[in-house]
Amino acid sequence: MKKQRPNWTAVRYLALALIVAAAGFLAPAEPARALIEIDITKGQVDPMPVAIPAFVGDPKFGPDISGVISNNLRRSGLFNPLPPASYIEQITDFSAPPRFGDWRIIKAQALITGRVTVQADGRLKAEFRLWDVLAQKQLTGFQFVTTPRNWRRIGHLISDAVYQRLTGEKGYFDTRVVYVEETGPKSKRIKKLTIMDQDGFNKRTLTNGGDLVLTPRFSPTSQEITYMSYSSGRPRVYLLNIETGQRELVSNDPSMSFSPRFSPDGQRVIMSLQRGGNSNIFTMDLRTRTTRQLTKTAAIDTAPSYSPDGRQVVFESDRAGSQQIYVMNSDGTNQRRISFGQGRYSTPVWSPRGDVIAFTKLLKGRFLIGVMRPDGSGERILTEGYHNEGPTWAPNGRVLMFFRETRGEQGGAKLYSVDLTGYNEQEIKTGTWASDPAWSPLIQ
Amino acid sequence: MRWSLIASTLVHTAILLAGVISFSSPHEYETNFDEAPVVDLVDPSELSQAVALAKDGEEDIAEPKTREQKAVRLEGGKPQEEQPPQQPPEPQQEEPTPPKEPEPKPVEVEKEPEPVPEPQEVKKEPEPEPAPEPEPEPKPAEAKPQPEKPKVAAPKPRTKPKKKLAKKKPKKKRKFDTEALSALLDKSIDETTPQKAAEGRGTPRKAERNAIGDQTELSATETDWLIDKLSRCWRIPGGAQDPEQWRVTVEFQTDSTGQIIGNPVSVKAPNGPTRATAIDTVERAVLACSPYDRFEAFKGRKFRMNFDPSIMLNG
Repeated sequence: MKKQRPNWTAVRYLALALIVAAAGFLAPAEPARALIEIDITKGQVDPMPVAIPAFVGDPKFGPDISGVISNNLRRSGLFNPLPPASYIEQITDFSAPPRFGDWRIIKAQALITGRVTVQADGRLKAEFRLWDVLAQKQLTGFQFVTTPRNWRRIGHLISDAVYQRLTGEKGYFDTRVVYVEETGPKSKRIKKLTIMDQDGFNKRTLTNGGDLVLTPRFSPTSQEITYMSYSSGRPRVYLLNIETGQRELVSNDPSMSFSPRFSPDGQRVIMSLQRGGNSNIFTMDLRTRTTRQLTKTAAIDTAPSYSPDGRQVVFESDRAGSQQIYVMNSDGTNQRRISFGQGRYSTPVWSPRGDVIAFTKLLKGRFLIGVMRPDGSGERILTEGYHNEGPTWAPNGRVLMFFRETRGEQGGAKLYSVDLTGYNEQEIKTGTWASDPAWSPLIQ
Repeated sequence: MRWSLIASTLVHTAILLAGVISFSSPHEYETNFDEAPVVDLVDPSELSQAVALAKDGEEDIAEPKTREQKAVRLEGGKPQEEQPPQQPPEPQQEEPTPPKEPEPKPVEVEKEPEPVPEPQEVKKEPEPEPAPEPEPEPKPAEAKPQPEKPKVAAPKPRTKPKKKLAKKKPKKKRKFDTEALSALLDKSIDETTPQKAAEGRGTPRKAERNAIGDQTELSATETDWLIDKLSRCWRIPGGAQDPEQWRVTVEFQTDSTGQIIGNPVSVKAPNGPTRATAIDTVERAVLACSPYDRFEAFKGRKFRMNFDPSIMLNG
């Protein structure tokens, strides 16, 4: 048998490979440039700078609509429309992409461009685009066609689209507010139900001022209002159709009824009826006109407000000696007190999002508007003053409107809005004294 | 004979390799590098602002009654007998003031949900600077922040401290940059909105961990600078409440000048209605802060930023 000779070339290569491998382990490696990972746990909540150049096209409606958008976004407190004088690029062509560099120089983070044209049929066509200046991309864009009379509403719809895209929350600009308009001397005020856009424009009175009216509330469709009036000599709850002006009494119960509010499905009105010296909470089925008593206490139970799902009701009661906030199931069971802070609590209103309840708090002679969770925890005061009252929620549950009354013979009530942070408080200009606001749902 | 030599060589080499692998990282003598505590320079004016945030003392003022109380108690209300079930009430007519102008009819507004089609001119325009090919992106699974890992879970080659020191020596010879110093001390944003800035203040635990050099090879100064700058660029919509909806992780890469290559890429974002907005806010923050050229360590690097407003929003 022949002895096989080793293959020396292969052996040499093997040895060389081993030595190289060993050298590789031994050699000090240059450290790789590691991934830099950082946690950012704080940010800014100051308003976002946005540029809203006048919409091109029609010389009247273009600037007017962009002006509505600018005012809406500014009042929201989340945006800071930059002054047009600072714009480097003048938008003249809606179809051309903007020069992002020019907008970045003036620190704009978002840019809204638009075009308004009057079509051959006389209708108004409005188009807009929302640009992300830093990412250099279009975020959203829509077009609307309507009659010229609705030009303000186009501005509100565009504002809603921009707000939703930039904040992730639904907008609330295409909404209306009904309130009590007050005129005349303080000792002899004339009070009328008045409806207006949420920005104070397009006012329209709904009642003639002959009777004292209070606490108007929208139906879920925004087509009806329920409110309390003294037209029959005592407080009674009425329904009013906004479009037709037709009014009807909710209940012919001879006792006083007040503090009405619609159920979320619009089928019932919940209110207080005063019987035997006590005020308790009842519901009225609007189809069958039957009432159902939910509370039965020797106290004043009032200001009921449904949770958005209709399963619970929050209300105020002085059954424990002072006004406090209570929650119960919508059939009246499981009544429990949720407010335990100092002072007296009243006018609770459940947020459309269901997460918090707004209230008025009377503490040491000051009226405060605040929110708390439905279990009573997390109380936060948003604003305070001599006489703040009557909070009402914007449909996105992020902004509250209320009225504030000033002291003295020359004083009166004005409407204000404040967001959930409590920082952005704004007066809503109405031209007259105004109280008891109620914010509509989003217009369908 | 030759086979014996070959076998001997192989065995010795194998032993040598095993030894190299096993003892490549001998424990060094533990040296406690006392990290300099992070010190915030606080302007006296900020202290006064903090005091100003406290509510004013309440004064006792005659309390007006609530409207509804007034309304109810005006009437006096004699006790009423409970009535039998009500009959349908008779509709009453009151003439509301007729509208002077016709009310805009919302139904007439046609809303087209489709985005406005991009005009042709837009398509003809060159796309904004095509981004150079970034490094292969890590899989989303790798993008998870590592809060659970204890600090010791990130071992580093023992040679690194020495190398760092060696690398840093030339930096010490740098010219003293007064502009950079003033940039570090620039608190203009805080000064303009003291109350809002106060909301976001705090001592985030994870940020602290970063500040002492964990997970990255940045110095504490570099890390702190980065956190501070991005915190100023990150705008969260006021009223945002659910922190879960705003937690986004993005990655991006810088070139040799510190400019971002392309756009940041989100590797982790919440599934919810605010997803797109949350990603946008974070990407805008990263882009607004560009370029990252304050320190050499930021240039030509890949970054992963975990944006999480939990501490800020939960207070």
